[in-house]
Parts: sequence; structure tokens; C-alpha cells
Amino acid sequence: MAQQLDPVDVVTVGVGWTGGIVGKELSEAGYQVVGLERGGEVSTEDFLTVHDELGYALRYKLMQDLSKETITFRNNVDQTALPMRRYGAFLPGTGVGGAGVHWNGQTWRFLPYDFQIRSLTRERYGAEAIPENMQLQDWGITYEELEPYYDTFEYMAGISGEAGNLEGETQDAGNPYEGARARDYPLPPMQTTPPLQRFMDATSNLGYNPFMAPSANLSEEYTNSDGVELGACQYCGFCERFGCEWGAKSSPILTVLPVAQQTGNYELRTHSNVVELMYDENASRVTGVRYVDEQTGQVYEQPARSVALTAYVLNNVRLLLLSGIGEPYDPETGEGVVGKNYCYQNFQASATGYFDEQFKLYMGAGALGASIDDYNGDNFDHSNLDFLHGGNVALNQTGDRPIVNNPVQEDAPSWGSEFKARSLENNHSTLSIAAQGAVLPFQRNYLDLDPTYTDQYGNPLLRMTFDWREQDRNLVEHIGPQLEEIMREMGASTVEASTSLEGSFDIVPYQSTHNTGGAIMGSDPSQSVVNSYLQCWDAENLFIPGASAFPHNSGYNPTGTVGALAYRAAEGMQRYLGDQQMLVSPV
Amino acid sequence: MPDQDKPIDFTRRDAMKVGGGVVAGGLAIDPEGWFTDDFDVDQMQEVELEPEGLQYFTIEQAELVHAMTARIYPSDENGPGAPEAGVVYFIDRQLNDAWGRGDRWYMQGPFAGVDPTAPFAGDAEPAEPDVEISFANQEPSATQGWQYPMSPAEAYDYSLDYVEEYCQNEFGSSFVDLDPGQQDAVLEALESGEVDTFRGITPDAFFLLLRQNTLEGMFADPMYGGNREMVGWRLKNFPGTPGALGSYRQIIDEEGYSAPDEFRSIADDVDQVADLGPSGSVDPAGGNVSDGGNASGGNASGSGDNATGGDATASGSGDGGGGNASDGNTSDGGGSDGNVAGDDGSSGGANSAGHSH
Repeated sequence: MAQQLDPVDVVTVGVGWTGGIVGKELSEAGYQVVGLERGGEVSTEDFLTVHDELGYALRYKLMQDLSKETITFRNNVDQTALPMRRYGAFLPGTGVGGAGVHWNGQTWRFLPYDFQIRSLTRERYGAEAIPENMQLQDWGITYEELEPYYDTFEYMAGISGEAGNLEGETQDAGNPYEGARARDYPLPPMQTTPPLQRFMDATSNLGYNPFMAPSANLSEEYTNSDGVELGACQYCGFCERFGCEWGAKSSPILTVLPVAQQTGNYELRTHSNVVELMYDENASRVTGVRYVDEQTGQVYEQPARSVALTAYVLNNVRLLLLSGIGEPYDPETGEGVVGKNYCYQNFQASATGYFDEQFKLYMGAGALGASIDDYNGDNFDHSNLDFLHGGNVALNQTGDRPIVNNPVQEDAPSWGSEFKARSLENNHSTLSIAAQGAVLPFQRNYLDLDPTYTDQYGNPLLRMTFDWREQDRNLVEHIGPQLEEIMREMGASTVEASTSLEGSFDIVPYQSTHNTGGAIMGSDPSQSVVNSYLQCWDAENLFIPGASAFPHNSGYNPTGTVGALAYRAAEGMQRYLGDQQMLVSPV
Repeated sequence: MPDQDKPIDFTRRDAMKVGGGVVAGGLAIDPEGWFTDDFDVDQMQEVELEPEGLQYFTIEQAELVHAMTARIYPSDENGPGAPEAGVVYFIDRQLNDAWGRGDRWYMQGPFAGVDPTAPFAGDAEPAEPDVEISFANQEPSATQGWQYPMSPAEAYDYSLDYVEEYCQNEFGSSFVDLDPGQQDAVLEALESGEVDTFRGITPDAFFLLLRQNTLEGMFADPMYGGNREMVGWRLKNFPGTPGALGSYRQIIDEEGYSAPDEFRSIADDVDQVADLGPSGSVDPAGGNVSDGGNASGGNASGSGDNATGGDATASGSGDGGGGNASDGNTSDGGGSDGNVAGDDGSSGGANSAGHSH
């Protein structure tokens, strides 16, 4: 039998960036908050011996245990989905801090275009520019409305970067295409290392607008807006998939969670795996959550006045489906909302250059990068192009670690003496650039529950149905050759470029943990799961921040926008706990 | 005395210049463990295989894996390879560990392409016809990844038998007794999926596993049993770990490539951390909500012989007062480029930061 617990004001399902931000904001406002996290705790000290490529990068120490829960996957509705049995394309994390512990730290704002993508695309190119099966939607919020929340996130996390647009004034440095920001980044950008300088020079020569990418690896020490002190990045080259022993990669465990805990109103419960939101459909409310203590097997019911669903994208959607909240999406009719507009990231346009010079590539940081945005969003004319949006183009110096970094040209064998000779020769002299392509929503890319496979408790796994579309292939064919040109301009003696996207989406090679959508935001309840406060249309006391709310995925890393939406949701929850009603009227 | 205006580099190279105690990241270290300049990779010997030294493999399996990995990452004119790095021992230990057992892989059935009734098909009493696995006869798409009904350890068990069966069929000999050209031909056949003795797993899938494990055994930290004497890192001029609180902050902007002065493994970092003592708390930034003290990252306080009196807490006690890591440098603006070091001068200089006491 489930054990009934005393009611609290707020429960967060998951304790990563979104759960941490909601937890801090609500506990500071005086509400009793319980954070339920299925994994355990990690601390900065745990990472003193973190420089273990095998353990963290290849045995996935900080990632979810797939034997207990995974997803199933298929490319199209005619296939049978099969379980993701081992890690590949993306790596959902687990534990307190979530992916905020093992992320790279690339922290972007989406473009103003993104939030009104349907309206602005129709306005500029006409309604016919959007293919019939592309379910492009406005977000129900504008960039200008979200700007203060971006600002709050950046000053909390200590983002290092260079403003390109201050209050509408384009700056000399920075990204000239970004939306207007009220003030500069809290910290100056990361160091422009020789490889990055090469990219900056080459793109500048070609007429582009290079800038240093925004980073949650802190360029300097920083005392944040909550009085938390963070370290300065040491460029050790062990960032993505690792934790930071310097406390120099902003994360929930360094920032929002200690602040929440200091209020005395916040309780963190680890090894607490939420299996269901308790839903009163008639009242359009959730009454609380049901969770399993993974250490004892005891099931608990935790009533709450308001619930924040703050797990990873995939689990947010799955828990909605398992709890019967909202109408599941139907890919045949396009009706229904939960599971709709699943999107991803398209990294297929890339160029690798083999140089005569050597660089110190074993040094680096997760968000040490130089970028151009000239091929992102609607920053370039799509009138004569057969795709929409684009992608940020970057050279990232994240640290070349030795197991996975064995660069050889395409004509080289993959093993044996020649492979050894050439990979050793190229080891310190190979640079790659890539476009981080936006992925736009299509009718038959979606999430639902699998009919066959189950998790450790016997509950259905989430089923992902996803494939590349002509949109994605055309994007790669357009941007790929530009990357090739940039790499030549950088002075590579040999350039190999990926200028086409062949075949179906493949879950085997790692690509990106930028899964988005499935519980999207919008202004129309028949088209979205949550409103602009991330408040669920079908359960007024349920808020669902996170990348699950993205109606499409932009050409950037998602975390900056995730953080902004979490602050927005936290504000909405406070208003809701006062007024007890829907915060936004549907249109 | 170090130059007060120069950002303090607490990478190992500069740390080593300090007389007496060596300080890396502010922690007192015995340098003996990581001075390895006199190491000669050419003197490395191939590992010997002893049955009693194996955790998972039989001696026959180990000899086969040893021979195969020796062709994947060979010893040659470019230096030692898998035989000297002890790749076979790395794989042996991995297969006996959680990874080899597939402990964190999703291994529940049904497995596509595997009809559970099939093994009984030839029996007098066939299995219940109404056992319905709707997709048992459907081949999984390659884009769906590993769908073999076996863990990595099982994949090795089965595949090594298949390889030997193939070598007997083709050459009338064990793989280990083939000449290098023949061995390469077998590996090429595996890689291209053309070894017809495989069942349940494809030859190319096994080859990918073996190749990946070979590279892991060459370049993973030596604590996993391969990469002996850090030979893989020496081949690559990869320094290993930058230290438990290591930094490249002061040198990452330099042009060109500089080979490391020495190589360093996690065992060295563990020794370094152990020097903190049982009460040593390391909290470089640690989510200290600003109650004074120090701060952040760079501050691994206390250099060897002073100040913190052996309390090598990396963050200082955070109990107010005292300099903190940031006040040593933020005042001079861009000049020092925000380096973490706020040198206290008196301590011998190579500590990374100002003191918190």
C-alpha cells in the first residue's frame, strides 16, 4: 500500500535545472517545497578524480541506468519500435542536478524569430512556405516577453559572453543577430584560443560575423545574483559528461539548490522515482504524485497544492501519458497534444580540417567556442531555399580526449598500422566545425507509449518515432558547403566535409542530447499542452517547464531557453498559488 | 618570489619549479609519483598471459583476444601497441565488470528477429503455436542499435568461438597461429561482415566492439588494467589527467603544441587527494552561499608549508574573513585576464590562490 504523506505546497518531479530553479524560487517565496529526484546526490568533491574518460564519457557514470528504464525507437509508424538497449544518440542523465551537472555549458538565447516562427515565416515568405505536414507553431510568448527571464538565468548561472545587441543597439563584438538584451552578460567571454582565433579570422574574411559563444563555464570567478560564489574555468578538457571539480561549470548543485536549502523551506528527497501524477480530471487538477523510494521499494503518495513536472523532456511526456493528463497525440489525424512536435538537433553539416600545424587540443572547455549565426534562424534569405531555419555554426574546443579522438582521413583504414600512424599524426592537428541545425516539427515525428516494452515497474516505456525529413536534408546540403569553405579559409591542408544527410536517423552514434517537444507551449489548448506560464491546460496546478515545451527546436543548445522557461514557470506557480486559477485565457 | 603581477600558473610545470614542496592546485604533493621523464617506451615488453591472472577469459580466449588486438593496434615502427599496453587484460576485466554483464543495458525481451519458439521447432512437440511475438520474424533496422540478445561478455564468448571455427574452416588453424597477413584477412572479413560462422550477432558488430575495446584499453586510465605505464598517452603526447585540481588556464592561449613534461594518471590524483587527510573537505566552489571566506574555484588554499597548517581544504573554511580567491585579481581588471590566482606571495608562490584564512 502506498503511504500517504502530509501535503506540501509544491512538489518538483526531478531536480535538475528546472526543478532546482522552481525549488529555489518557491521556497524563497515561503512555500514548502519537496524536490523528488530518482537518482542520488553528487557534489563537487566527487569530481576531484573525475578525469576518467572511460568511466564518465564511455561508461556513462552520470547517466540513467537503462536496465531500469529506457525508451523504444523506430523511424516511422510502419516499423516496430525496439528498445534503446545501450546508449547512443543521446544521453539522459540522472541524479541531483540532472544534465546540469554533466552538460557542456553552451548557453544560448533563442532568436526572436523562433518564438513567432509560424507568423514570421508566413509574413515573409507566404503561407505556402510551410509544408503541409510541418506543424510549425508560435510559442505563445515573444522573445521580448521572455527576455527578463533569460537575463535572470544568465545572472544566476554566471554566463560568460559578449553582447551583440544591447537594448537594440548592435555591438561591435557579440552576435549581431541576437535579440535585444537589457544588459551585457555577467562575465566576459572565454579565452580566444589559437584554433578559435583561426575560425574568427576565417569567418571574418568571408564576410561573416564571428563571436565568442556564450558559456556556463565561467570565464572568471563570479558571485551570482543569489550571492553564490562560483569558480573560474581551468580549461582542463573534461567537461561534457563529466562534473567539474572546480565548481566552475554552473550547475544546480552549485547555485539554486544550496540557496533553496538555505531557506529552510526546501526538502530534497533522493532515490525517489515518481511513477504517476495523481490526476483529478473533473477538477482539472493534480492532487499530488505517487513515487517509489528506490532504496526500500516503499510507495508514497505526496499530495501537493501545485506540481512542477521537471524531469527530462522524455520523462515529462511519459509521465503525462502514464497519468492520463491531456489528449495523447495522434499522428494520423494530427489531433491531440501530448507527444506532439517531438524534435531533435541536426548536426550533420560539418567540416573537418587536417592542418600542418599542431594545437593544444587536449585543453578545452565544454562551452569554449567561436560561432557565427549567419546561417541560423531567418538571419539569411530563404526565398529561394527549400528549407526553413538553419543552425549556429561553431568551432568548439571541448578537449580532445584520447580514446575517442583518433582522427583519420576518409581513405584511411579504421585499424592496423596505417590507422595508428595516421591517427597519431593527426592527433593534435585536426579541427572540426559543425552547424547545429534546427529541427522543425512534422506530423509523424512524435512520442507515445510503447505497446510492448516496460520499465522496472512494468509501466510502458516511452516510444519515439522520428526520422529526418527533406527539410533536414536540404538544410545540410545548403550549409555543409559553406562549412567546407570556412575550413579551407582556416588553412587546413585537407578538408573533408559532410554536405549531405543520407538515410534515416540512426540511434547508434552519439549526436546530441537535445531532445525537445512533446508537451509544447502555445496559446491554443487544442494545439499545445501548456500555456505561456508552462501551466498545463488540462491541470491548472501543474506546470511543465523544460525543453518538452519547445514547439520546435532551434539551432542552438536548449539550456538557456530551458532556464528562462523555468523562471517563467516559477513566477506562474507563485501567481497560481495566490489566485488558484488559469493564468492565461486560451485563444 | 614569484612575480606578483604574473598570473600564477599552477600547472605541474610551474609547480615543479617551486623549491621544496611541490604544489599543484595548492595541494602539497610528493613529486616522486609523477616524474617519469626517464621512461623509455621502447623498453616496454609485451604482457605475459597467465591463466591465474585472468578474471573472465579462459587462457585460450585471452590468447585469441591478445592476438586480435595486436593486429588492431599493433606494435610497430610508431611504438608499442596493444600487446605492451595490456589491452587483453583491460578487456578481461571489463567483461567481468558491470559493463561486460550489460548491467546498465536494457536486456528485457522480446528481441526482434529472435523467435523464442524457434529452438524447439525441430522437436517432436513444437512449441505452442499461439505464442505470439509479433515482430520475432522482423529484422531490426540498423538504426535501432544493438538488438542482440546478449551482453558484451556473452558476445565475446560466442564470437571468439565463431572466429576460431572460421579460422579452422579457412586455414585449418587457430587464429593465433596464423601469420600476420592471414590474421589481418580474418579481421577484414569480420569488419565487412563476411565471416559465415556467426550466429545471433553479426561479425561486424563484434568487430566494432573489439575495436572500441582495443582503443579503450590503449588509452583509458591505467587503473582499468590497460594503457600500462601510460604508454597510450605517451604515444599521443597526451598528458593524462591535468591533476585533481589541475589547470591549463594560463597556457591554453599559447600557439602551437607543447608536449607534456610528464604523464599523470588518476592514481596520482588519488594520492594528491589523499594528502588532504581524512578531514579534508574539498569544496572548490561548492555552492557556498556567500558567507564570506573564499570562493571559488581557483582557491586550493595552502601551499605546502604555511598558512592553512595542513588543513588542505581547497575552499577554505568559508567562515568569513580572509582573502578570497577572487580578490587577488579582480581589482586589476583585464590585465590579468581574470586568472584565479590571487597570490599571497609569502607562501612560495605556486599555490593557486589567495588564502582563506
